[in-house]
Amino acid sequence: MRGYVCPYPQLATLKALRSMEPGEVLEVLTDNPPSVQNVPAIARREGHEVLGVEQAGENLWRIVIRRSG
Amino acid sequence: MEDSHKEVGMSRLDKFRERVRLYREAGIALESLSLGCSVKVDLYDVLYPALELLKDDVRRLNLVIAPREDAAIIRGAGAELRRLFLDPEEPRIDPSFLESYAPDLAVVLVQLYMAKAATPAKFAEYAARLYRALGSSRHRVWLGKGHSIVSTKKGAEFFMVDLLKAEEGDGYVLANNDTIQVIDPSEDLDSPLQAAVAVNNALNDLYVKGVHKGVEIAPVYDAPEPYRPRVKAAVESHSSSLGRVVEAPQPGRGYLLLGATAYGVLDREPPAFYDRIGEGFVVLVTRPFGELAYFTTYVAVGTDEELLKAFEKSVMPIERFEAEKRAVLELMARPNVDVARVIYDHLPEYGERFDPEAHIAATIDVSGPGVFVFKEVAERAGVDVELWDVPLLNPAVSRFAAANYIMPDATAGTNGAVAIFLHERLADEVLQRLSKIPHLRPSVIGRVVGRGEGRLAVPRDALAYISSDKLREKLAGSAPVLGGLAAARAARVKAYLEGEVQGVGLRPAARAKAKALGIAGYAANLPDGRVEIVAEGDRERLEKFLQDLCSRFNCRIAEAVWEAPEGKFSDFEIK
Repeated sequence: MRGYVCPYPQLATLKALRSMEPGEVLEVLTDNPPSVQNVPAIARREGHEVLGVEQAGENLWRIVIRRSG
Repeated sequence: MEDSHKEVGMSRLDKFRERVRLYREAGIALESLSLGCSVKVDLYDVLYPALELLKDDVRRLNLVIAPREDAAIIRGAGAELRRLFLDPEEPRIDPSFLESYAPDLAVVLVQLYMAKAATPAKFAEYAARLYRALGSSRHRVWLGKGHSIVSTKKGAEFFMVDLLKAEEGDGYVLANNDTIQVIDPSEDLDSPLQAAVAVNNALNDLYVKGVHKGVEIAPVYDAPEPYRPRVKAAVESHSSSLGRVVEAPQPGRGYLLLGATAYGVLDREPPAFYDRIGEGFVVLVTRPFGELAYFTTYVAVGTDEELLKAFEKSVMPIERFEAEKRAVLELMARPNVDVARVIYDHLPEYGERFDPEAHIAATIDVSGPGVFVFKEVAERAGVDVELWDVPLLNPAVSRFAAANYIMPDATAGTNGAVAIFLHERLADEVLQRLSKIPHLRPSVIGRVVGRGEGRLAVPRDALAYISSDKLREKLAGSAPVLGGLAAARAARVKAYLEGEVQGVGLRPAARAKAKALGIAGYAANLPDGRVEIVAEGDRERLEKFLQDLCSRFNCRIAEAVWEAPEGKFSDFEIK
């Protein structure tokens, strides 16, 4: 999701999660700082499990989410 | 029918995609432009904490940060403007220039790469550089309201500093910069409507304080090279219809920007009487808000077919949505100068004292923070405020935007609705003046509960417009107030009672009961033998009121329609 700003990272994340099988793991890379908070918060509210949020480089963050069953 | 519907929706979507391509060819990735979602450096998470971090720095500099208001206010009878552009990595202003020009005010526009505005500490680092550049001369600089935009492009950064020098004389000069990237991506880059919205947006912060005389406008515009002359023409043409256009240098970074620094004269006392607000004051808005929900939702459904289907199913067909969106854009393109005149007419003469029965106490532009602007005023005034209505242009659109995480706060507005805090005895008169202005729908939506800590209570259903937990907490924090107030969930009900209801003393009993429950309205006998009750008050109490009446008189509620309260009843009458 590099180069994308809110709300696209969270919309794309939810769309991707909807297309996945329960238990599958999604990795989101974003350079949009507000998304580092928004994306995990929204994934949790939708019942998915956030496995981790980490800095993946300068101005780049990785968010790992497991689709709910 | 169903199929043809879908086809129309899809072809619209194709049109939108073509538009996305057009913007991309112009060097603008629409998905990286903010439509209010994070258009500004986040006020609550980044800007305010950053200012807090910089307190000590500012103390050491010859710089004063003016109190946070919609517009910066200085004394004078007019002003002139000089515009500078600085490099955010190394901002420098010659101290001898500041000393000789001796500006009274600096209004700043910051465009910064988003990673540099990610955290308060990071943003503070850049703000500190700007403050040092402005505050290192022997001339004390007043820093007025600044405006910050985050960009996804590294090369597009700048600090723009507009220095204002006041002409001596009685009165005030108010100044403000507001600049946007894009409002409605289905509009052309050089769309006159979009340029009008952007310039109005800068002026609105002046209008909201009653300024409508001696208005001068220094436009800000930028676009990829081939589009720039037409964007310039659109911005200048609308500006010249509202005030004198002031020539000033432009960013020239090739990244879409539309806006202005606007300033004007106020020869009365500005509406900033926060310490006078208390019990007996009400909150009035000039029209419903929530404009940004239209544009952000439009872009979101335009990029996701599933979302489009869900929208068409639960809200409205896309063609109707496009027509409504267009009407909202036209509404936003109408300048608020008539509202400014009404506000001006209710301000104390220059040097005169505030009279709560004659003057407006405070005003605020219902902008990006949406419903949270009422909390800002409550905090500044040290009062608690309750709203019984959060009037939105289309509540269903805002609910959809929040429920699908399209916006953190789907009450966000821009350029339009104005909130006015005034004494209830003055409200009717101001309401009447405002209702004569076409396209406004003024109403009283809440009241000041009394002195307090700046809590804001909203009707529970308004929480559906907010998707961000963090923002919800700010309102949920007011839960004790909400629970303890009768009118916090005010509603209006129109009910028809059937059975032995006429000639049995039902209406006097209703009146007595209504009085006891704090309910206003009327009860009327209908020719068909039923009793009509129209009543306003707390929703739960209204329900109890109707049930108690019917159980006592052994009647039936044939029909009950719930609506937003209008606040026009002061008593419960028998008709």
